[in-house]
Amino acid sequence: MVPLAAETIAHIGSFAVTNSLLNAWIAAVILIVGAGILRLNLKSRPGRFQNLIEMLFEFLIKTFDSVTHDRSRSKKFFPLVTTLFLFILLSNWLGQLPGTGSIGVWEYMHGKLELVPIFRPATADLNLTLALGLFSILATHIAGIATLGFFRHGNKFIQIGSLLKSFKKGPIAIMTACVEFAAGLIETAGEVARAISLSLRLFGNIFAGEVLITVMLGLAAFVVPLPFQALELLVGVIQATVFSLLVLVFLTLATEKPHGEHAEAAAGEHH
Amino acid sequence: MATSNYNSETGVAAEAPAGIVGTLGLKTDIFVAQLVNFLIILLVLWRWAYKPLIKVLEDREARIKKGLEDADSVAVRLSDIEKEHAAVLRTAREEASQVIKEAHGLGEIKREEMLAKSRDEISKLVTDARKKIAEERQEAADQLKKEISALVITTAEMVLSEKIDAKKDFALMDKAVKKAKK
Repeated sequence: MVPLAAETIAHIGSFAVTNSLLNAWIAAVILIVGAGILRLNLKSRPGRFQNLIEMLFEFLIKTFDSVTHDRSRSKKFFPLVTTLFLFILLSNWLGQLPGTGSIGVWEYMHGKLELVPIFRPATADLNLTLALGLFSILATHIAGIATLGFFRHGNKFIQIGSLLKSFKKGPIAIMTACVEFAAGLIETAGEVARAISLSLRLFGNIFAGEVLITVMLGLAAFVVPLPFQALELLVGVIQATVFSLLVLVFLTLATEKPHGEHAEAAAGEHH
Repeated sequence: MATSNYNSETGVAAEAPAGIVGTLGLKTDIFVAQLVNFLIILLVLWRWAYKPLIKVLEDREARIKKGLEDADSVAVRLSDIEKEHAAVLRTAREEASQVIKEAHGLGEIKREEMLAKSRDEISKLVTDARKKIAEERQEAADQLKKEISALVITTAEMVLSEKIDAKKDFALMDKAVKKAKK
């Protein structure tokens, strides 16, 4: 059975290389080589490869525009969101190559002999998905601070600023501010939840797919697993899209002005 | 950490350090490795793919826009040139017809002049000729007068030198006339 955790396949010094990390490296090499080829062959009159990439980029940036409603923001978020999409998609699909999960070394694990596969989908490892999720959420906060400033962005979560301002306006305003303060705390917890839900969704889907394919292969080696593998290819695209588009939505939300900003701006810009 | 996986005891211990985190296989070093890996991809794609390709796309967009604008301005200039061309042609035509008209007028005048001149010359010739004819006639008349008077004188001499009778008279006269006729 496929274990939840990625298994160690080699050691570099004291660093234990897991099979998922190996797949992530392969994906990295493919993407970097692809980028290098593109960089070296970049022309104002595109060849077939460049044309394909240009079409993909134009499609992506138009899709981003429909979320951000702002071309300049689409362009700012483009590198992170596109890299997330490409890397996750490639990792998911690399996991569908024959040999993943089946080529391995027999080793003693948990007291019994088990096959330790050399390849395991990179996204079927919570280390990777959590790294991507946490980094993406961190990026949304960096984007928020960069566009709104540290205090205005921070005030969305720990609303001390709003609370202090409300003291000038009377008891009802103070009560509203208290409720908003509590909402801000929930929002703060929500940020953590976002990172975890991003990571677990991707990990769960790909890991479940890997388990499903293994089970199907165990039932019948030929033909039977094919529809499920086709489904897994689809899941690979869908999960890559979901992850990257959610990050794009979070980025867009983080760079938007907070609620009631206009009223506050009208009320007083003393401080 | 470098312990072999063949040792079941340490293997279990290494894989499940504590609770859920251990079961899910979360390890700090792998987490950091995956993060670094992703950051490298992000930076490389940013530098090699996104930046240059977006620049190429934007440059091309700008070039197409400029090309379209140029085409528009060329069309405007072309129509300007056509208008100018038509105007130049019109003035040229007008000038040409003016010149032709002037030439016609000048020709007419010249013809009139020539006609008048030739008329004058002809009339002069005619008067000259008349004069000459008159002179010649006068001359002829004078000559005739002279001859007639000479004849009369001879006749008179003959009449005076001979005996005059009627018969002889006629013969004489006849002789004189014959002489004169000769």
